[in-house]
Amino acid sequence: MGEDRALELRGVTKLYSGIAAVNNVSFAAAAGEVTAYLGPNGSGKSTTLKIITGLLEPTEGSVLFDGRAIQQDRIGYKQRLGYVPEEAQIYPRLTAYEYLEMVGGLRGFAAPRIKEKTNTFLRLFSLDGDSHVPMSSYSKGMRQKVVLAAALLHNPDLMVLDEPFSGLDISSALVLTDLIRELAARGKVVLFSAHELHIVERVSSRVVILHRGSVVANDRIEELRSLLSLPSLEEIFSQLVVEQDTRSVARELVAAMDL
Amino acid sequence: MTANPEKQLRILYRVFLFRAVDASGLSAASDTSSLLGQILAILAAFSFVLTYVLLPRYVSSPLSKPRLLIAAWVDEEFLIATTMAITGLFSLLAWTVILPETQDSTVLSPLPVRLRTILFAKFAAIGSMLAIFGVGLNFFTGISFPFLTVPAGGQPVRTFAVYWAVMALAGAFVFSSLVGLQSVAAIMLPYRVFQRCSTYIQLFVIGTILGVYFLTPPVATVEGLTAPENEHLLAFIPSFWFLGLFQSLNGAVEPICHTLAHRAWWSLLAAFGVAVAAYPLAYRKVLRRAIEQPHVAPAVYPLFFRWAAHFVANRVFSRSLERAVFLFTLRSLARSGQHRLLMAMYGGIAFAVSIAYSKSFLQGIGEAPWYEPNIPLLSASMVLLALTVIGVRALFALPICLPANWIFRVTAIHRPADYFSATRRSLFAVVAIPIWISCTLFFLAIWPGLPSIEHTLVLVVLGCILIDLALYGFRSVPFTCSYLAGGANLKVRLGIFAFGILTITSILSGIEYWAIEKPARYCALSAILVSAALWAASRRRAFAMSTYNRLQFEKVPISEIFALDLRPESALFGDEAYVNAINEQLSRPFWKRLRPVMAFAGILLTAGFAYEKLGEWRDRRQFPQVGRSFNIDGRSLNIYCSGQGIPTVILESNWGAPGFSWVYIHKQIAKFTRACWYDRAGYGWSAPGPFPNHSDTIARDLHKLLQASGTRRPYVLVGHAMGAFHVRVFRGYYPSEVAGLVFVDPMSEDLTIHIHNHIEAFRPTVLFIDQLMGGLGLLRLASRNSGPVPSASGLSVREWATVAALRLQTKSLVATGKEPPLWIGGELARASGGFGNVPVVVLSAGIQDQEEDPELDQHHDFKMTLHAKLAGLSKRGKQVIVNSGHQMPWTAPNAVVSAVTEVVTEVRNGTLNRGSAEKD
Repeated sequence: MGEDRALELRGVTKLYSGIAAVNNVSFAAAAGEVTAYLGPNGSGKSTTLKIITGLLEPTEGSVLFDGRAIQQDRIGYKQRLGYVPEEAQIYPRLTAYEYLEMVGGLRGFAAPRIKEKTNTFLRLFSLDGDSHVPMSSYSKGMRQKVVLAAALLHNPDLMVLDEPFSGLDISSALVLTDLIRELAARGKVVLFSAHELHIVERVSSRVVILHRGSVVANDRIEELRSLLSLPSLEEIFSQLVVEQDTRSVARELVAAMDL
Repeated sequence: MTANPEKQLRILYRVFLFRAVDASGLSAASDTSSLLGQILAILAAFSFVLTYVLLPRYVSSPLSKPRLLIAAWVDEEFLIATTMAITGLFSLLAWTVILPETQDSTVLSPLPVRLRTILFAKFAAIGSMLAIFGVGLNFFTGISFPFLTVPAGGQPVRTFAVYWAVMALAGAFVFSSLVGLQSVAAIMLPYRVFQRCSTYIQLFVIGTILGVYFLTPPVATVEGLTAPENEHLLAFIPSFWFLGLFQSLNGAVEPICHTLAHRAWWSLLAAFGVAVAAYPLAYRKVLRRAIEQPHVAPAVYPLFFRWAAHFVANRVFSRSLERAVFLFTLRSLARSGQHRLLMAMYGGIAFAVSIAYSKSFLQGIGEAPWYEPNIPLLSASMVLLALTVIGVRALFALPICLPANWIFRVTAIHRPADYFSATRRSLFAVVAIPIWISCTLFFLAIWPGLPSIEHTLVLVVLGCILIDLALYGFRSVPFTCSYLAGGANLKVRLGIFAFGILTITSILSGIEYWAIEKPARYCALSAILVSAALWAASRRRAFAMSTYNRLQFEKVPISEIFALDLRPESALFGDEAYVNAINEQLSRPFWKRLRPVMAFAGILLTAGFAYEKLGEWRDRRQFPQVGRSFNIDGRSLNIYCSGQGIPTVILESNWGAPGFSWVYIHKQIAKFTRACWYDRAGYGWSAPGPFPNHSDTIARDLHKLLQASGTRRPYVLVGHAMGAFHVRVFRGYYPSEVAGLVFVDPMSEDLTIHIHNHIEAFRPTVLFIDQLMGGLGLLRLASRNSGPVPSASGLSVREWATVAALRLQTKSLVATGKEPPLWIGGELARASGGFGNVPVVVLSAGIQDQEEDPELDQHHDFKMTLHAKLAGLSKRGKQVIVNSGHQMPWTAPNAVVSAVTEVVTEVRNGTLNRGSAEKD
């Protein structure tokens, strides 16, 4: 858990038709640490994560991993990256087994090794009973597990997870929380975004909060707590980011029903 | 407030309509309206091809109208059967939408919508979809066919209305039957069993529909339908019932039509009744069960297929990337409803075309039997290969679940060339190899060994060429690249491709047939094909290995969108910006982009030209000259004589007909005297002559030919229709040589003034177009099937085919085109005067059927008096009215023979009485 900045963003900006979805974002996520990336919907979280994974190109700025810009060696970077996207998009007509087998093949593993890994992961995620059924019948949580397995298959050094807890039931969420801790303990860089602030509080060491495309907080949780004199992450979040008066909004909604 | 049920109906109707079309269910990534457009375009293209193949038979048939209409029954049955089959197949694809799905229960149940409204909307939506497809399928045939098959005394509007009405009813019958079947199954079987069995029921129905469609024997004629051995067919095959309905609504009098029409009405009633009764019950039951058991697990994919796919993948592909891409492609194709649908359509059209070619066997007009190498089957296998390869390649460009392609982007750790190679091998494994294997087995089973192997090798090389051409420029993993709807314009290309593929495969199969005969030719053909394959492969490899090539996941939008920075949000993979730079296509000026089109057009024209030349070569071999050629003024004219005795009967054929068309009548006459038929300049086996070629030139040519060939005088001249003018002019020039005359429903100079004057202005244009189409092989392509032999004509199948082939010759078309205007011949004939004492018989057609010009029918009585007047030009002339139409040599040849016998006898008696015969 050293000071080596494993994943670093420097001045990353992304403009869409002149409007900045991500505005001059800079932070670092260190190896062996869990970094949480928070912000309301539409703040640019997913965009930033897509830039980190290379799915989008930043208009300005750069992303570095282990001190080298990712553009310089895309292939090498992708071999060390594990990504779990928002909304667990999978091919619904494939079965879980076929999907993981395909991912293994795409990554170049030999067939027996793929088979072993796939079977093990499916068993550990309790999906082996449904592994030969098309994923269209899977619940959101089951799909999430499949995508997670696909991200872990190749033992990546960097794990980027975009809202991995949404749709998981309590026991799966607990498993995932422990998994994240375990990955960090193994020396990997773990970056994830979530809305479940109580989980974030428990598992992450560093928090980056995004609001309207800009970073409004980038610190360890304890330091944030003392800085703002607020005991919980939820209140910190509320203070920094939430703009509406939630109570009056609720009252107006109820009034709208009578229109 | 209560909702308006009408408004609800409209809203639900729209929702269900789009769901019915989007057969793979609610997938937000698919563009439903463009899929609808594509399906319609494919159907319309198919309709166009059908029209193109069927129509020429009706436009230029020598058959009389009533006989033509009976012959049309076969084609009408084919159209009805096709509409029913397509309706059935589409209903099957909407199978899952007919009964409620989970969305219906979760979304619609809580809303205040009556069940009745939902059912109405569903039925109407699916019905509309089928109606749209039915219209698309019948688009071209429906606006041309009814007008060409109007019965005598009928109105075109009625035929048109009957056509569309019967098609609609036939489609409705099939749809109601399927809905009824599904509803009854849902009611009788327990819910889980029904879910599992649904797929098997679908497969069974597809098999039945296709089986009935392809295996229906061609008995749709009056004789066929009334034959007792076909009765069991009539009981089971619905297309015959609706054929009967079609005929009886059009006013046909045959009793079999009414029987069949009755059956059609009853079956329609029964199907509709069962559907209307069972559907609401089934709907309610399924809806209830769906709510009670929302998580019925779908059936596990059968173990066998899993194992088989793995087996193939592991044996054929050594690299894991290729295995992964192959399995992904195979599974996606097999499981996506949308892609299955389009693939079924391509394959279905390929099959239909193949069967259409093969059907010519059943009519007995094919050149070679099915157990020997023959062009239709060669053609059919090539069409199958071409259409499926191109179809699946087109499908590769249609995305499946586009947002899920992130997995490919994130794992793109190999060189782009590796992905391209994996795509290429997948295309081979999914399409080409199965077709090669099945074709090999099929041909080995029916043909001798060597030609089968040769054909397989040709197919293999062709497949490689096609795949390399098709994959050039394809930079994605199948189904993972987005699709720019406006850019590809598949719909327009499709029509051109269909026509192009059919033309090219016709030509190629002709060439292959020619090449199979001798090893040297086959080697030459193989050399050409293999070098083409190598060229295509090297071009594709150069593309794949090019340094700046990248794997593509977004279709690059046109440069204007780039410049204005209006790119869509989930924009480009950084490297993909390079794709624009190397994709010169986008920045080329328009005329340069036109070059491939021009090149393609150039290829087509050259191919057409080669096809025509090839066809002429084949015809020369197949139909060797009958008769002898004599040199007249530096050109050759052909004449064929046989028989012994005098006078010599000379047969002058009608406008547009070669001398050989007299073959049966000639044989009969040759039994009792010497008889000759000949080809006018440009016709049959005679060389083209100078123009103008009116009756005077023709008569003089004939005279020189008879002298050169040493044909003994005197002559009895026989002229049919316009040939009568030439005969009269001959008589006018050389009266001493003509001893008798027979006119077979002759043209009259007082009538010709009414004919064709109004289209005289267009004749040069029509002639030019005819020559152009003929020279490019289009007429040959269109008249591949010369239609059934007129039964009374006495001609064998081969003789009929000979006549048809001779008419097709370009020189024949030109000569025919230049003989009019008819009135010139008429005036020349009028000027040639009377016939003196010579025996003359004028055969008049008693049946009004001259389809050449409707005005002639009105002048029928006038024509009779004119014929009587013609007979009166001789002191020994007489008119005989024959119970036949205008084409007497086909429909009443024996009447012609008896007239000739009579005249010849009179000439002989007259000669005996006079005591001297003129000799040359």
